[in-house]
Formats: sequence, C-alpha cells, structure tokens
Amino acid sequence: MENDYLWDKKGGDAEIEGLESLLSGFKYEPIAPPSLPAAVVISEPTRFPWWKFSLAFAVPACLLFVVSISFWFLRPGRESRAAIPGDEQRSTPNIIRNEPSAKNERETKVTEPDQPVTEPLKPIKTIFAPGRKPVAPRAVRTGHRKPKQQFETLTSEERFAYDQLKLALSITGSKLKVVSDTVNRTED
Amino acid sequence: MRDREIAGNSFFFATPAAAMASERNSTRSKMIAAIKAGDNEAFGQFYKEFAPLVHGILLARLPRDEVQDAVQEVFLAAYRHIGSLRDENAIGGWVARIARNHVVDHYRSKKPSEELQDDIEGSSDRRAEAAEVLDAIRSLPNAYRETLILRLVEGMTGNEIAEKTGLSPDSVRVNLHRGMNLLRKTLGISGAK
Repeated sequence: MENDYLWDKKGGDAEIEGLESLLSGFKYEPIAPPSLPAAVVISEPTRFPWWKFSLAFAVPACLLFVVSISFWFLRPGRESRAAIPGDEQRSTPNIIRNEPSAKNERETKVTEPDQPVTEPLKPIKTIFAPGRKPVAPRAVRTGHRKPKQQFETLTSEERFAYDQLKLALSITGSKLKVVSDTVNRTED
Repeated sequence: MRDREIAGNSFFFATPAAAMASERNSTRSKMIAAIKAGDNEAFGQFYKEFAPLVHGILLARLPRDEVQDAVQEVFLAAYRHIGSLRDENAIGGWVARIARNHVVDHYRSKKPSEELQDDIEGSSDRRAEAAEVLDAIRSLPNAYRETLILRLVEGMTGNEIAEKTGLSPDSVRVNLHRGMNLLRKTLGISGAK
C-alpha cells in the first residue's frame, strides 16, 4: 500500500520522511514536568444537586396544599348555605324558614285562616291505600298549619338532605300520579 | 481444524493485544490513583506519556513560542481536575480536551500576538521552509491538522495517535490520508490526488 509509511512507519516514503525531518525542529523536547503545587486541592466531581430542585418544588407544593385545604374549610358557603341569596329561596322550604311566602300570604287571604274551615274536606283518591284517612288539600292546610320549630336547628347538610328527599318524594309522587291516572282511566 | 481450535481458544484465553491493553489500563488506573493521592512520581509518568500529545495539539493552534509554557499549564490544570476524570481508560481524550479548552481560553483572554521567528536548527532557508510547512498544516481543518502534526512532528504512528486521543484507528487513518492529500495540494506537491 502506498501510504503504509504514513500509518505505521513501515516501508518508506521519501516525501513523508522529508517532511518529518523538516518538521523535526518543532518536536516536543522532553523537559521536567511542572512541580505540583502543595496547596492545590483536587476537585472532586460534583453531582447535580437534585435535592435543591426537589426542595424548590416541595415547598410551593406544600404551601399550595395548605392553602387549598384552608380554602376548602373556610370557604364562605360552607357554614351557612342559606346565607347565599337565592339559594335560601331555592333550598330552604317555607316550613323551615318559618316565614310566610307571598304565595302563602295570598292563599291565607283567600282562605282566611283565622276562621275555621266549614267546607267539607274531599277525600283524595288513592290506589295503594284505599282505607287510608283522607288528607286535607295543601292549599287549605297551609293556612292553619304551624311551622315546625324543630327544622330551624337543621345544619346545611341536613337541609341539603332534606331537599334531596323532597325532590325524590316529588319524583316518586309524580310517577305514582301517572300510574294512578292510568289506572283510573282504565278503570273508568 | 487447527484454525478452529485456535479460534476456539481465543474465547478462553485473551489475545496478546487484549492482554497488553488490559495491563496498560491497570497501570493507568494505578497511576491515576497515585496522582490523586499527590504522588509526584506518578504525575511525572503521566506527563512523560502524554506531553507529546498535548504539545502536538497546542502546536496545531498556538504560536510556537507559547507552546512550551502552555503544555505546563495544561498539565497543571489536568492535575487540578483529575477528580473529574470518570473513565480512566479515556485519559488521553480527557487531556486532549483540556488542551483544546486551554487554547480557547488563551485566545479569549489574550490579544493575538505576532509569532517570533524561533530557533529551529539549520539554515535560514530550511527554517523558513519548515515554518511554511507548519503553517500549511495549521491551515488545514482541525481534525486533519492535529493528526498530521502528531504524525509528522511528534513522530507517532497511527495506532499510537488513536490510542492516545481516543479516536478509532479508522478515523485516524482517514484523517491522515485526507490531511496528507490536502497538505500536498496546499504545498503544491505533485503527489496530490
């Protein structure tokens, strides 16, 4: 191979040998190594300080957690759900609030609750309890009925449960009404 | 059959080249451990082994009159940072990188200086010719100029260059041949391909 001498100095190449001898004046001349300074501290490889990063993320994460927990427990609507305007009207029934609503007032005027009702009560048709005692209609009943004082002491959770129960009962009632209408129509 | 036996034995017995490499790595590990412990003799051995490599790398980039001092500075820097050497078998490439970084720091911190006409033995024509050839090598791309200086100036073989710098022998061979062709073109030698 032509350039073997260039690789391993085997064989011979006049041109390369000429360059080597020409450049030999620049070759490294061995001299004594530098004396080692006594005070030099050999630096050890430093590892990347991951713990600093983990601290930097852990502290804000803890703060965020504490703030969110505090906000959850101290949020305005938690203690008194009725304090929210509109929510009181929606969730708290008149019976609990012990305040006569406009509708009740109107009904009161119409039915004149101060005087005893002379009109005979009509029995409510029921299909599941034929022998059940008839119940007075709601419009008539509201005028005379005293609100129960025990509902004033309900907490917001209990009121919410009460609302849910009422909703379930109303849904059930409507279903029952549909069934009863169907049965009555069939019977008729 | 005999060839197959020999090939089979190579699985169980290290080849002479592998044994030599293993012994060399072991020696280097001891040398590096001794340097870390502050052993001057081990540092002298390290200096003797790698000074031509560092000198060649610096000669390819720095003015000639500053190369000798720079070699000493590179080795002192290597001593200070010997703790950052992770792969003890790659100490050649590690020292070479320190030398290249030193060149960068040199040109970053100092103004470019005029190179002195130094004391090359021989006639002035020969000195001028040598300086011209060295300048021609320095004008080549980095990979070629380092390899050619280590080969033509420092007198290393291709295998020695590969072993010291951490490059693969094939890369060194390619750099040598392509660099030599470029040098021929630069110098106007007829053998250029």
